[in-house]
This record gives sequence, structure tokens and C-alpha cells, in this order.
Amino acid sequence: MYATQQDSGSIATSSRGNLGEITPLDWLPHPGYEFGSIVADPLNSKVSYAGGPASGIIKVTYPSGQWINVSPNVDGTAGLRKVGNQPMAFSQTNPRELLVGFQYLFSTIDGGMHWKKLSPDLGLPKGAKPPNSGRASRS
Amino acid sequence: MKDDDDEMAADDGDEGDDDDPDATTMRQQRPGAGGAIESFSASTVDPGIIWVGTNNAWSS
Repeated sequence: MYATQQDSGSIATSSRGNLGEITPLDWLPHPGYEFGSIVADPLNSKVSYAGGPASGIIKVTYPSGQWINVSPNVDGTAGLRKVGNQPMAFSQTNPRELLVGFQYLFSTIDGGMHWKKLSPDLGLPKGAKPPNSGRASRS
Repeated sequence: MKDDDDEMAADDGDEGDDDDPDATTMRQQRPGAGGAIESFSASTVDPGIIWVGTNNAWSS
């Protein structure tokens, strides 16, 4: 189990302990950030992805704890924007597909080696009026 | 000197305050830079649809 902790960074723990309870011995540091999401690879429980500092997305591998930045934002010319609690999740229909929100919805199916934009830029300039999306109605 | 509580109160969870020595601190969205995706969720009835929420805001 993974979690972010404000002002303290990320943490990982087993969902059960060998001493009959979960103790501090079961906790591990995790190099994720204090905000955002941490998701476990559904096909490899030793791998997790987390939002990191400097707008990065990091891929973490246990037991070594080694992490690398796999974010599309490593290309500084991409001009990507994100919110503090950046949304990130694996697809429910493709367990290899990791989805991440910047001003675009991004997808990777190879662990962050390559990213694909699934949407246009959905972020409007500050103060810009969003287009009318129509009137909600009942049928 | 700040204790932990003071630190939390001081930055209120935001990054990039003057006391932060971490050069890799997350860049905050600059005013006027535009919105970004806050959340998304796959449709439960159509696997080809992903609903997206943004922080785009407008007031008259």
C-alpha cells in the first residue's frame, strides 16, 4: 500500500505483517511526492508510479527502490502543466496502459518510455470563458 | 525556529516557499498559464470514453 504524506513524502507498507500486525518494521520509504497519486503496476507488484517533484512522474522498482523519471515533462519544450494532486491511474480495460493528466490526457503502454496524447489541450488560459457545452436535459 | 506544526501552517501544504532549499521543488502553475486536468474517470458503460475534469474557471 502506498500513500503520500503532506510535508513528509511518500510511504509504503505491507498490507499484513509477519508479527501478527502491521508494525513500523513493515514500512518502507517511497520516493514519491507529498501530493498526488501513487499507483501500483497491476502486472508487476514490484513496480509503482508516483508523482514526483519538478512535475515529474517517477517509476519505482522494489526491492532496490531505484527510481527514474519517466514523465513526458522531461522534455522541457513540451510546456506541460499539472495540478498539485495530479491524477494518475491504470486503465481498467488495458492493464498495461497508465493514464496521467496534464493539460492533456496522456497515456503510456511501455512504462513511460513513450507517451501519447489522448486529448487536445483542455486547459484554458486564466480568465478565458469556457465554451458552452450545451444544456443539460432529461430525456 | 519552526516546529512541524508551524511548518505546516506556514506553507499550508504549498511548495516553493522561501524556506524550501529543494531546487527540484514542483513548479506551481503560474497565473495566466492556463488550466490543467484535475481528475479523470473511465466510463463504466463505454470503454472508449474517459471523462475529464479541469480547473478551468471563469466568472463574469
